Amino acid sequence: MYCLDHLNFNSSTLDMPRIEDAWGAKLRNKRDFLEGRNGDSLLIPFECDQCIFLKLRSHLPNLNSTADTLLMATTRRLNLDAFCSQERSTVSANLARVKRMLKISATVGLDGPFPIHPPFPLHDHCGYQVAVNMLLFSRRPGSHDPSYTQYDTIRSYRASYSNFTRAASTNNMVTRCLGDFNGNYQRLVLDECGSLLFKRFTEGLRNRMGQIWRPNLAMSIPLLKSLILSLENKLEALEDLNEQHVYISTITYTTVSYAILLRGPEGFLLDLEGLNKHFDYSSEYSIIALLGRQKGEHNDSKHLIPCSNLTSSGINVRGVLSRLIHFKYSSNQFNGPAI
Amino acid sequence: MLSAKLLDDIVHEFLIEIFETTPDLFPPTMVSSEKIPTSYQCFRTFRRTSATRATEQGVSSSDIDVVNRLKTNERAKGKRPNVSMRQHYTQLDLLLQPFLCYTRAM
Repeated sequence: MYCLDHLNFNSSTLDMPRIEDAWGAKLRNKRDFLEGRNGDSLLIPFECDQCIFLKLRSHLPNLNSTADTLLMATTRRLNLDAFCSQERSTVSANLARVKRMLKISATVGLDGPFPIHPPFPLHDHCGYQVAVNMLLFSRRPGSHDPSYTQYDTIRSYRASYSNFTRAASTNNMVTRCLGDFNGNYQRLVLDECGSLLFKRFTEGLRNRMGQIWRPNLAMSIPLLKSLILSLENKLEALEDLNEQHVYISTITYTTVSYAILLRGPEGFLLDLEGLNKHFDYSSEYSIIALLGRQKGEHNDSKHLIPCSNLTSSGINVRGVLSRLIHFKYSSNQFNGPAI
Repeated sequence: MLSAKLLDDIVHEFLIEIFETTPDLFPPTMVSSEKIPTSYQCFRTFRRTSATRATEQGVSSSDIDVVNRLKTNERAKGKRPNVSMRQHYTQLDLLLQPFLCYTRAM
């Protein structure tokens, strides 16, 4: 199954208005990201751009200043992102309910259960600075797209701020925690990024930016065998021992990672001492020895993994391991990392 | 000791050569060799290839789980991994057949 991108359709040549009409409400309304809706402030703790600017800079914006203009635009974007965390239909339904409640209250001479609350404090109480940082970071070239950096990358700024604030003296003078009977604690800290506005902002930001996910692809078996064959042919033509070592290691890493389902760093844990100790020419299988600390483990540990000598696709695991052991032996290496 | 970057560079160099001679070995979405360095990396490509082959060859999920237990322990971050009691009390170093079934199928 292929998406339009793969078939190289040029969307400008297609009948876009007709397609948009056909999709109707199933497609997201583009205006959602560009405007506030009546009733947004009933769901989002809203402060206008100028108030946020005044909080952050302690003076009104000078629109001749580039920095001020950028900050104003960023705070506007921040509010709009917080708004678009909620669907248009949710906002309008909530507003309609509030209006109905006010009408019902009026029939019995009441003002309604929605009093006017005092304004927000004069300091950055909900992580505006972190949000501004995230938005400005998103404008930088990313690894997947030169025009912006992805949400999953920019959200790390919130983590950095939260780490900082958790370790700050003000959050550690008195420890507030919830403990259960199993001895587990949850420490409570004052963190502006835990505010409702910040939560809504990050939700809206994620909705707006979407996500590009480009996982590493698997190889077909003919491709994998062709790769190993090319590496073997190159190895045969080499005379320099260092270059031979590089290619022998590359072939071993490729073969072992494939045969016993290893990912990146695990392939490098191949242990020469373990391989030497457990290598048996008469055995029906080979033992692949890994040594090291896996992510999440507390200590270095040995993993001995039995592996068939020859796989059904014709990859000779024993031959590859045997060659590595002999090469290392001829270089007087009997222990340490094998790759 | 080799670095992951050096391994990636070598693998990419050869994959690009293979692409130029036999592009049929690559998926149809691979329209140019420029995409190869971002699409194939040592970090996950071989593991993904292995998992795909295991599914294609009909390796049983219990055998895959046993071979995959290293990763299950890793995901548990030092705590007891969330596996069935039967698997929890299985002594991994005495198991042979699941590993041989899996690796033979590769």
